[in-house]
This record gives sequence, C-alpha cells and structure tokens, in this order.
Amino acid sequence: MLSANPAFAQAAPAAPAPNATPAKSPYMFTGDAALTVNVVKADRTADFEMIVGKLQEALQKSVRPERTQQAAGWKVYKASEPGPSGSVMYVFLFDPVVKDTDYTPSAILAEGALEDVRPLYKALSDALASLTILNLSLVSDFSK
Amino acid sequence: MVRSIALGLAAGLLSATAVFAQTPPAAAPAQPAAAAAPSPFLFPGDAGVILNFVKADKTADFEMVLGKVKEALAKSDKPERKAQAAGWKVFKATEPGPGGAVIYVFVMDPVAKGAEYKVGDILVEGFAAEGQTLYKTYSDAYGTPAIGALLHLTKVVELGK
Repeated sequence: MLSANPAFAQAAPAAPAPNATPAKSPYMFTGDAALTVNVVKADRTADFEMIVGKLQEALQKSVRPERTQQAAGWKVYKASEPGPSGSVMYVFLFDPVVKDTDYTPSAILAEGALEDVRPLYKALSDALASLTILNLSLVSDFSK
Repeated sequence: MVRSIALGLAAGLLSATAVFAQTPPAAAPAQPAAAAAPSPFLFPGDAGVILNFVKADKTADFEMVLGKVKEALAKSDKPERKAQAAGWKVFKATEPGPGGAVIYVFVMDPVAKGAEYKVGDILVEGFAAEGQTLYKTYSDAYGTPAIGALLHLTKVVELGK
C-alpha cells in the first residue's frame, strides 16, 4: 500500500547510480485486476473529478490500442462512507488489467497533451490525502 | 509513507462485532426500539467493495467456504441470489494486510439492489445446518480486524464510455 507521495511524485529525482534498476511503477499492475482507493480532501473533489474527466479524454483520444483497452476496464466510484477527517474516497477498479501497461495518471495526461499539464499534476497531488493500491488475482467469479 | 490499510481506510471500517454479531440480545429493550439501522450488507448504489482480512493459515478454509457460497447462490431458486452471483467476484491481493493477514476483496458490480450480501444467510439457505458449520469456519478464518473496509459505491464514470 502506497501513499500519494511515491505514486504522484513529480519532482525530478536525484540522478540514479550507474546500473541502478529503475523502480517499477506502482501503476504497473501484475494481477488480473487492481483496485485503488484515492482519499481526496473534501474541498478538492471538484478538482479530482475534473482530472478524472481529463484522464478519460486522454485515454479515449489516444491512438495507442493499449490505452483503449485500459479505458475499457477502468471504472471510477465514489464511496458513501466518509474518509478520514471528512475526506471523500474514490475507488478506481481496473478489471481486467491490461498487463505490462502503465496506468500512471500523470503519464496518461501527458500523452498527446497540447497544453501544459503540470497544473493538472499539481491539482492531483494537492487533492490526494492518501492512496492505497491493491494488485488482485481472481479467486472466484460467482457468475461462472 | 506507507500506511496500513486498516488505518488508511478507517472510515469505512466496521468492527468484527458489528459485522458478525449473530447472537440476539439477552433481554428485550426497555424502550420502544429505534428504527433499525440498514444492514451494511445492503448496497443501494451501483457497486460495493469489501476488504476481508483473513488469517494467513486459514486461507484454505476461507476459500473452501467461498466455494460453498458460490454453490449456494447457483442452486438457489431466488432470482435475487442469481442476480448477486452475476456481479460478485472474489480477488486476493498481492499486498499483505495487517499482522500478515491475507486480503480478500469482494467486488459486487453491479449490485443486486435490495438483496443482502450476508454470507451466513446464504450458507444457511443453501446448506441448512451444515451452513451454520460452514459459517463458523468462515468466521474463524477472519483476522483482527476482520473487515478493512466496507464501501457502498456510486459510479462516477466508466472511462471507456
């Protein structure tokens, strides 16, 4: 489980040591499905939903087939239950996952963007109080 | 910053007592009963998610009982049980839960509105007395806390549509 910091960090990292292996993105999902719980500050839900809209737009207009596949299995929900300190919980459900494809929101927003997306990164980072990421393997589908 | 899921999702957390209380109260209340709170296992929105924390050495028991839940739903004559089965998936998380627990995620999408997702009731409907025994096995498999989060969800958007 990850906080918002590693997943959305935008600051340039220090130069890696020679031969260092880049850290794997937490948004490269390894299982059949994935779930993220985005805990959003109560006064930033409009920003967060605006960014979700931008993500949808970016995925849908992408010419990369994997982005279309990602969009097909990606749903966004809002929880009725309040989060810590009155925050609002948004659940992203990725089912099925597109294997070996990065779901990092900032990367998706940046692809093909004609405008400066840095304000979106900042708005996203500012909106998130915490983030939980779960990689999921299917145990049972009760419909089958 | 790594945050435990139990803390991170505390607002959606229900205690084992609240979720699994099966014993009726010992005495009738002195005052007229207040309106009963709706069951947390009723999902009035579009979807539901339950994060179950299971003891690492009890996952086989937990999965065995889930197989029985699936069987009970499949053989039920009730249309609402069929509707529940149609949208109910069980996943296992790669990430560990608190105290080394294994996280099983129930995803109900779509939910069967008005149908209660109480595993104990489904087991007893399907297997009568054996269902009680199965439910005990299921309950005994839970860690502490038992439920990391129980979330009632409203769809915001499907990014592919």
